[in-house]
Amino acid sequence: VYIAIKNASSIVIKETSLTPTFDTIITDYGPLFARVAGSYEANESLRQELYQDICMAVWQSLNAYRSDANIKTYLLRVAHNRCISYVSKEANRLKADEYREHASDKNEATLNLASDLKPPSPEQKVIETKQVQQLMLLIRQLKIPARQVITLSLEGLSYQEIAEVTGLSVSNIGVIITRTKKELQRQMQS
Amino acid sequence: MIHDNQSQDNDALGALWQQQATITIDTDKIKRLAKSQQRKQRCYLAIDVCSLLFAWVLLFLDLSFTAFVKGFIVFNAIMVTALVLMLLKLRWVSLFHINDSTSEYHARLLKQLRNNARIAFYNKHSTWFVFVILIVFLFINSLLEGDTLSAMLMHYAYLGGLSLVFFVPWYIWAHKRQHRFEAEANNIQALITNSPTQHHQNK
Repeated sequence: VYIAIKNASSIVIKETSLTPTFDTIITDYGPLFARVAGSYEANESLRQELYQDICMAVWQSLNAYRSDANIKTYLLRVAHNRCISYVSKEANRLKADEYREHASDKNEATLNLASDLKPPSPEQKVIETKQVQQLMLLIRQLKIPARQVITLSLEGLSYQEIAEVTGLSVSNIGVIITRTKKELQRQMQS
Repeated sequence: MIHDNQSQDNDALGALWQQQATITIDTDKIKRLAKSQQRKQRCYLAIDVCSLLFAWVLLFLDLSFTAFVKGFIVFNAIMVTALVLMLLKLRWVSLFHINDSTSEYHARLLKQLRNNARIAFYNKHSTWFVFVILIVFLFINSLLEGDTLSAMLMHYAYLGGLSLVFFVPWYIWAHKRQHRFEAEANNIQALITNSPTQHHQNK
């Protein structure tokens, strides 16, 4: 019995030690949480509040994390669920989606440009900014299930991982991704 | 060729997606806020449980209540217990189901909001119901105690004052809550249902 208890406690210790710390999570997944917040809220200050709420939800949910689960999909579930609760409360605010979408034009002026090789010219920067704004606007107009699936896909998650986060079937996810991407590309080009 | 063009488009969308503005955050501040929120949640739980204990302790104290008053206290204690259990369940759901899959969470949230709206509806109508119960209670109690008409009228005056101070604001508060939860549920429902690429209705 003693050995069994000792073994069990060592397993618990091992599992606990595998759980990443909150600081590591924010360093590794902070930008991911910011993008999740961006897919639900256009206004910069509200987006920051939402981002903060996501981080708090992550902190609180870390106790329930089991090390055999995929940390990224686990965190994405927490982040998206927090955002859904946020969106439900939006009904009580002024129907200000249009205001927020337009207000965001200014807010999203500073972008995290990924091209490290050559700094983009001002014209390029303006074009890229507009394109990102347009993409974000289109994504925020999607229904929540499609929005979640497409943003998870744009984050590079596999169909199986998206299924883990959303609880939808892999075939359904394939259909949603194909349709939504086609529609996004059509609207981006038009 | 078509496939190549599609994957290039997908890569282009992915690249654009990654270019969003990032947000910097003070992790120590988040930890402080989260701990404070956790403390508050525990405090609310303790208050809920204490209110439950208070209702039942009152019953078991050897105060010189008549059987009718004791019956009234038992009725209230049962109602409070039901309410506290419901609150505990809601807090439990909000604390421990945040890591559900998103579709499960949608369904749970929607159900919870609809339930909240229903509870607010019952809460709203319980105000006038309790008011009527109190009138009947005072009347029967006055008859049993052999109160004079002036004493009875005094009791009703207190009841009138109590309803103005307590029941009317309670009714308004519950009415607002009911509408708030209904609006939230309808909003979520509108954002979840229909085909995946349709735009949401509340724009």
